[in-house]
Parts: sequence; structure tokens; C-alpha cells
Amino acid sequence: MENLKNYIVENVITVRDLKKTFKPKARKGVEVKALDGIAFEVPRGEFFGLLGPNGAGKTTTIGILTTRVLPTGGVAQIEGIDVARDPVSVKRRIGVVPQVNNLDRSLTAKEILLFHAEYFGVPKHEREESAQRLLERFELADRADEKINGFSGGMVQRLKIGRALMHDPAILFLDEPTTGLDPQSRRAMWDLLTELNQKGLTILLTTHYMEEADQLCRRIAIIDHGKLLALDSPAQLKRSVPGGYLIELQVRDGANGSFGESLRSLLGVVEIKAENDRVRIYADRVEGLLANAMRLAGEQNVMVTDAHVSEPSLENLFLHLTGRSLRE
Amino acid sequence: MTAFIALLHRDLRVVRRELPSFLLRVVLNPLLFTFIFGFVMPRMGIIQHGYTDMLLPGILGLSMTLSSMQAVSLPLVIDFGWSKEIEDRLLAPISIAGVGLEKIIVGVIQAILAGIVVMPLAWLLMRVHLHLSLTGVINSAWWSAPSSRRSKSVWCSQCCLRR
Ligand SMILES: Nc1ncnc2c1ncn2[C@@H]1O[C@H](COP(=O)(O)OP(=O)(O)OP(=O)(O)O)[C@@H](O)[C@H]1O
Ligand SMILES: [Mg+2]
Repeated sequence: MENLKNYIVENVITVRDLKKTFKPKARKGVEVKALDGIAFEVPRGEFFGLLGPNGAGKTTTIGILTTRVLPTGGVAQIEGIDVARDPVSVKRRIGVVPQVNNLDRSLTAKEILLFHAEYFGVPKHEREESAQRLLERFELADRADEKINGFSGGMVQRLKIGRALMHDPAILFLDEPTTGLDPQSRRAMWDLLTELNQKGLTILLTTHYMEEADQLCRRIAIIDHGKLLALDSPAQLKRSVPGGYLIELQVRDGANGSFGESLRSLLGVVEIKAENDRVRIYADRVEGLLANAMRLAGEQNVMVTDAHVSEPSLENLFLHLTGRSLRE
Repeated sequence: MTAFIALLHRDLRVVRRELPSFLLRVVLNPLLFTFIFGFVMPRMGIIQHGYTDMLLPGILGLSMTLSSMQAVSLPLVIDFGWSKEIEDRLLAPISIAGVGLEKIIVGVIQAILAGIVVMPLAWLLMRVHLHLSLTGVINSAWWSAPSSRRSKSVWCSQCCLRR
């Protein structure tokens, strides 16, 4: 039976044709279609990313999955439980790190952790223990008895994650956990999340940083304007960009036109740009391409002094999918 | 149920921590009222006989209503508004109505607390002019009722806004 379980891939998050329309509050306001038929499934133990620009609908998706927003259409399930029908059972299973700071401003850091666990009925000695452990893990132990007014953005972020972990959830939702953190803290956050995922926690994270999704997530859903544009592993997604790979060759005595032209015949090459001592090869794939290019160079007595291969970034992918850059 | 008790525990912890300022807020206003209308003015004889009998339950009701409103409804308005702190409570495994009910109960508890503090103080101040009867006390209990209703209505209207 135990063995069987390992074979069956169990989806802990199921989203089907999810829709959310925000009705205008003022009479003249416009209706906002925040989600327009999103669908995805997340198996247990996966690190799943929702990537999209501002206003794409990431927070709305997380809001629905964490029972704080009511969907206007479609189905959202956590471990098979419908979030709209039985929110209390869903809340028991999830940990939530929201985008905004909604920590309890009347309590100290330690009390925030303790009371949160108490809401979930964690026994007293257990919650004391895990609060202490998490405070130390997140380097907040020396500020444990302070209220959060004086906390820095990074400290608030860590405490929010600590709070979400207090009741030992099966699924962790993080809404832009690294926005506003310095590079060092971001790196530490990535390490932490990777560690948690390796311990078996299912994680759903939203971000608008390409490298973050690339680094952390096993699969990424790219959304924009409430629609799912693509869903796959980072590597597969990058491979789907035509001409996404770039090989730069530095050549000694001026890359004359003939060398560039001959490169064009190689398999997978999409475009060649040659200028002075530099040749740029845009290609669909790189396997064997560099070796072939070097062979051609040798045949034509062109001296290559440097070669650089860059992978297609998710940035390119986004441009390819939407026709606009992620930062716009 | 565990979550409900834990929420109550959290709110009572906050009440206890802010007890000094809570008491000051509760006591100051009715004290001034009773001092002027229940002590000074009857002494000067410019107030009708029996006025203080009405004043005591009135003051009691007033302070109970105001204190529970200040202690529950106003923070709730902030929680619903810019701080979004209410979502911290809504993460607890309890229904939205459960969180609302808990807030109402906390409001009632604080109103009773305020009543317990104000009643003897006001009574002491104007005892010479007082013919306190049981009806007066019941009357005051009536007055305290709107406090919990008030916090409930704020809650409901905010809930409607949220969706
Ligand atoms: N409570 C609300 N009332 C009205 N419109 C809303 C509400 N919440 C979100 N929206 C709208 O829904 C759309 C999606 O918003 P959402 O917050 O999900 O975006 P997001 O992907 O999280 O963006 P960001 O990266 O800025 O956090 C936006 O157009 C937004 O204006
Ligand atoms: Mg967001």
C-alpha cells in the first residue's frame, strides 16, 4: 500500500477553469477580469511557480486558493477539498505568506508565532518549542519580545514565513516573498525555500522575477491578464523560444562575410549577425552547434579567440509569448 | 472551537496589556460628567430632584457603549482598511462568522469591564443625591446593549465591502 502511494501522483492543488471578475464599486467603474479561465494541477512535493507581470492575477489566484477571495467561476481544490465549499478544512492544511504585511501589530514577534499555532490547536509545549526553533532559524531570537513596528522589511518577511510554518502545513503559499529584499537576503530566502521543499513541503510561489522562478521552481505557469500562457519546466519553456540560444564568437582577423554565410547552413541556426571581430549566432538549439562552428572556422582559417554560449532566458520567453517585456 | 477560544485568548491578552490606557479612557469621561452633573450642580441646587437617578444608568450605558466601540469597532475598521490585519485572523481555521462572533463577545466583555469600573465610581461621587433602585440598574443594562450591536453592524458592513 505504501509502495502504491509512491506510484500514484497525487494532486494537492487542482484548479480548473478558474474565473474571478471584480465588480466595479463606483457606478462608473469598469469590471475587472482578474482571472479568465486558469487551469493547473500541482502534485505533492512540487515547487510550483506562478510568473507574471503586475496585475496578471497572481495574488487573486493565491487569494482564491487560500479562501480569502471567492471565485466567480470554476473549481479550486486543495487536497480534493473545494475551497469555496469548505474553507475551514482547507485553512487547516495550508500555510500562507501574503504579499502585504498583515502581521498582528498588537503582539510581539514571539506571541505572533505562539498565538498563530494556538489558533490551529497545536499543544502548548509543542508550539513553545517550534516558536523558539523558528525564531532562531530566522535570526529573530534577539527581537522576539518586540512588537513588529520597528522591524525591517526582511525581518517582517521572515516572520511571515515563520508564522506560516507554525502549524506544520502540507502546502505553503508564498506571494512574492522576495520583493523588496536585498540580494543577500533573497539568496538566503531561496536557500530556505529549497530546503523546505526538499523536506517534502509542497510550495506554490508567485514572482515577477525570471531568475527566481528559474532557480527555484520545478514547473512554472506564466500568466498575464488572467490567462495561462504557458506551463512547463523552466528548461522546456526556454527551449520553446525560437532562436533563443545565443553563441557569440570572437574572431581574430575580421569576420568576413563568407564565414558568417557558411555558418548559416548549420542545423538549428536561425540568424547570424557578423560585425568586425564578433559573430553572433542565434539558434534553436546548441547541441553540437559550437563544435560545428569551430570546425567551419578551422576549415576557413578563421581564428576564434573566444566563444560564449548563453541560454535563452525566461525574459526572452515572456517577450516571445506576449510580445512585450516583463518589465513594461 | 479551539480556534474560537484561541482568538478570544489573543484579544484578552491585548486587552490586559492595554489595561491602563483602557481604564483611563473608560474612567475619565464619565468621571467628569458625574462630577459636574451629579456632584457640583446638585450641590448648587440648580438641578431637579431625582436627576442623578437618571444620570447614573445613563453614564453607565454611555461608557459601556463608547468603550466597547473604541476597543473593538475602531481597531476593526483599521484592520479591514489599510493594515489588512484581519486576514491574519481569517487564516485561522474558523469561519468568517466565527471570527465576527468572537469580536462581538470581546466587545461585550470590555463593556462589562467598563461598567464594573464606572458604576462604583459614579455611585461614590453622587451617593448623597442618589435613590438607587433596581430598575435603574436594569435600565442601564438596556443601554449597554447597543454597544455589541454597533460592533456587529460595523463588522457586517465591512464584510460586504470586502467582496
Ligand atoms: N479587490 C479588488 N477589487 C478590484 N479589482 C481588483 C481587486 N484585487 C485585484 N484586482 C484587479 O485584478 C487584477 C489582478 O490583480 P492581482 O492582484 O491578482 O495581480 P498580481 O498578479 O498579484 O499583481 P502584482 O504583481 O502587482 O502583485 C488587477 O487588474 C487588479 O486591479
Ligand atoms: Mg500580487
